[in-house]
Amino acid sequence: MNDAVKDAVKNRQPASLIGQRITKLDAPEKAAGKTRYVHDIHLPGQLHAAILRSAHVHAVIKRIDVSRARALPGVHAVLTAADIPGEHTHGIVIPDWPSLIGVGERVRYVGDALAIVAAETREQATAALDLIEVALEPQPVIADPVQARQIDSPSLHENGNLLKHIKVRKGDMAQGFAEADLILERTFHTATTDHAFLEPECSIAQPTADGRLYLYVGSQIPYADRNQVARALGWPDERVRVVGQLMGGGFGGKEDIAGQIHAALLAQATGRPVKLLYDRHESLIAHPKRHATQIRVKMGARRDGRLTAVQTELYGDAGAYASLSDKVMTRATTHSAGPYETPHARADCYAMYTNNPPSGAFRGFGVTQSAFAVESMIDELAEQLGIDPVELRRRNALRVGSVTNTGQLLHESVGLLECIDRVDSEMRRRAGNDPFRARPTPGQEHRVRAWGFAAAYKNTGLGGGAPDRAQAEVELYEDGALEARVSSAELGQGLVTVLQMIVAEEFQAPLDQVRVLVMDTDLTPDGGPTTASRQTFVTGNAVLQAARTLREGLVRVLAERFDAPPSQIRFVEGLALVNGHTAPLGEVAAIMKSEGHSPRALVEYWAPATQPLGAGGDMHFAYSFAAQAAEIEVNTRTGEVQVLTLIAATDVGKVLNPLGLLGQVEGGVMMGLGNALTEHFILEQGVPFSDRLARYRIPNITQTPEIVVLHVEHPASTGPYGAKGVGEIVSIPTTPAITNAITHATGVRITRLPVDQEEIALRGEGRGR
Amino acid sequence: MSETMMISLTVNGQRYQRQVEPRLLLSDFLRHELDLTGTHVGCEHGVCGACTILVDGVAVRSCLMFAVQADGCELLTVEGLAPGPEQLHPLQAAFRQAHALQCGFCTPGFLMTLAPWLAQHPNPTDEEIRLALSGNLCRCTGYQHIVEAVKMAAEIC
Ligand code: FES
Ligand code: FES
Repeated sequence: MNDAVKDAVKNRQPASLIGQRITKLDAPEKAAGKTRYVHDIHLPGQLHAAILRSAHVHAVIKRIDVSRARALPGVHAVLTAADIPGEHTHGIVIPDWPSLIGVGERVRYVGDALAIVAAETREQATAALDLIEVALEPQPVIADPVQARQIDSPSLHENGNLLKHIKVRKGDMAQGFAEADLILERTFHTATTDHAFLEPECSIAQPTADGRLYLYVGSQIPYADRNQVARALGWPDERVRVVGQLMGGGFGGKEDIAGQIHAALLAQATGRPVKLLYDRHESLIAHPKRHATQIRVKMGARRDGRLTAVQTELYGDAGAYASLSDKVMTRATTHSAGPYETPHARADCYAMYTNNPPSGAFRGFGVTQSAFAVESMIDELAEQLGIDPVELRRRNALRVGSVTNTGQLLHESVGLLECIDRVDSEMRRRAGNDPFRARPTPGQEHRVRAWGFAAAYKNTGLGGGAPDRAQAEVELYEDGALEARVSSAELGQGLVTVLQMIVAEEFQAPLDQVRVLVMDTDLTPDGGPTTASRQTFVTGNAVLQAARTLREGLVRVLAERFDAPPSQIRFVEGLALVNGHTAPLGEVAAIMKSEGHSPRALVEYWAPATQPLGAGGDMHFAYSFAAQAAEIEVNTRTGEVQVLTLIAATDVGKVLNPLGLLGQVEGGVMMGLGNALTEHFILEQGVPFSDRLARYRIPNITQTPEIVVLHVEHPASTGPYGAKGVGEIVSIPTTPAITNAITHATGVRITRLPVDQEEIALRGEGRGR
Repeated sequence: MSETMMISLTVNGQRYQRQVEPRLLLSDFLRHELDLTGTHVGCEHGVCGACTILVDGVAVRSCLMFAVQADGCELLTVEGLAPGPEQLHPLQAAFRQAHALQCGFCTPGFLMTLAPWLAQHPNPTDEEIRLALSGNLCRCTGYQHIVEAVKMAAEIC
């Protein structure tokens, strides 16, 4: 026994890993360039695929002739809708998205696929596309969701253009506005934006000798991919195996099908492995975006700043197909009164089909958009009432005992006030007592600085009555290794590191004794989708339960073997300690097996039940909270905005890995900064202008402010060690904190994203100049 | 089919001779012909920096060069950065230690941009680091930890 073990045994108080800075499990491989992303895999005999996409935004297909393409040397298959053996459409929520558009059918956006080609080389596949002849009849274009709802607009889908009307009702609006001393009404617009994950999509489909199909892909939902691919092939799910690969970022953009079905169809047709790689152009054109929205907010408050009523009307641009629009716009709607308690609330959201690229999941999941609107309003309310904007937020902030606008009584884990207070005092420590006043930069009178503030909340988990569960398996091997298996996805966010920590913690084993296997539908049980900031909570709980179940099994067997009471059995430093005996974990695995037990535990964890919207009660089992303050500097001559400092406090319940959390906060903040200042997926009548990275500006390193990260811990009793979700909340308050700061610096109210910096220069009269 | 050309070059200390199409991009040559897949392609047109490698000691974007232009050159890719197998270059170690990577897709480009630069700027300020890296995009980290990693590496170097 080494000294550390002796100490641990003596003190009986093993050190906890939870809350320690743990470097990423996969970092050395990634830094060495050894990690294989999908595109880095090359299978013997592999063909290359290319997709013929519609050059039209909206049209009806009259004829497709692929005969010349089929005759091209090197081409192995050219498929159209008529060649799909199974289901023709896919979609995670509503299967309304055709994998290929057939003759007589409708093209609804420029990314729609008409034919797919597999050839020996990429060049041949691309050349074949030019030989496909298509005749189509152009139709009038619906370019925005407000237009889509007008009666004389053409119908894009069988049931019209309204994908969903989402409603929130609480109290009595007439009474609420009658009680107000001040009523404000404003309309906000947010732009379509793209995830711009650095790794474009790639799928490789491989037929196997035993008649199955393996699919190598970076996917946030491996089991949903398996199901959708199997349906298109006309196969049972089990015949398809998704072998998920580490992803070069996802952020919600790798939840929908993108190439998986096309690669699988071509592999099925040719009997050869087929690689389908998107270049950046295709990635930008084809995959779902963040919803552009129009949000009208009417807000009433008493003289003391207490809200009396909040009414919102939202239009969400769902684009051509449903994707996750129903869920995303529901979240935008339920969060549209902000993280505040108001006695009367009403929200109506119209998620509308248009001829733009589909909109789907994107970090923040709709709340990014409504938070911008409501936090801008709160700031203006504060100004008109002559109340400090932080104080106004404090007076209305959700706290334990509050009832949300969907009728949920919050009974624990509401750290919003602490977030607000921590950010406020850090801001005032730096800026003095009047942080929101515009201050000319000394020596550079055309530059003006000011601070802005915003708060937000975001659900953890699917909620709304959806069953939210994850299976997980933990196994102990005779070489002493512990392995956790779950299909959940590693996008770079650090899930595998958190799962590794949880298993190590439960067995008090060294971290390097634990490995984590993810994203393989043959080898790992279904952890559910990597979305809704749910993995740490739901999959974390599943792995925690599996680890504990296995540990209890070990304890039972050891207790019998060594005739010791279970309470006397401990695990320290990868050893089991029983009655003065020490047994390495590997030996314990052997003992288990010799006694006829399997050293393995598979559990299915069910998150606490939730209620559908409209039913009242717990719509979500947990919420994370955040406050942020931004200090910006505006160049009043050019309108250019630089964010100097960003203070972020986030209530994540419990910090599991502070290093991973820092990375999430900083990355999230920069995404919020881009959303505020530069990111705009520009469409002109459904045709993307932003069809390459040079035309879609994500923030670079010179735009990073000093980011001050504060952790707030109000544990969720049902979370693993008290933890809640973190992936999305960190990004949400950033945009309004920045736009509010711009308003304070220049007097210009920002109602449209991204901020038009030239307009600030033109309209920024007076202040500070 | 266009004529192919014979090129010979050194990559990570190893000599290669290959027949290549004149239009073959250097990034594709490294990834597909030599199976050096640590060089990543994020945008194909010089914007993201993920494909950065060293050509005769100078950081270049391999997606903006043809393989034939590297004829006779000495190349270094991320696979050749570490002093030996199972070892990490100080920059690689610092990126791990400082949590300067998440998905890791951008990382090889950052490392290869930094390697020659750091040798010439042993005591960089935050400002200088940011300027040096202004042509490399990262969507995950928010960049702050990348700056910290560079300072950490500067201390080790
Ligand atoms: S791939 Fe070369 S710069 Fe982006
Ligand atoms: S770590 Fe993902 S893009 Fe940089």
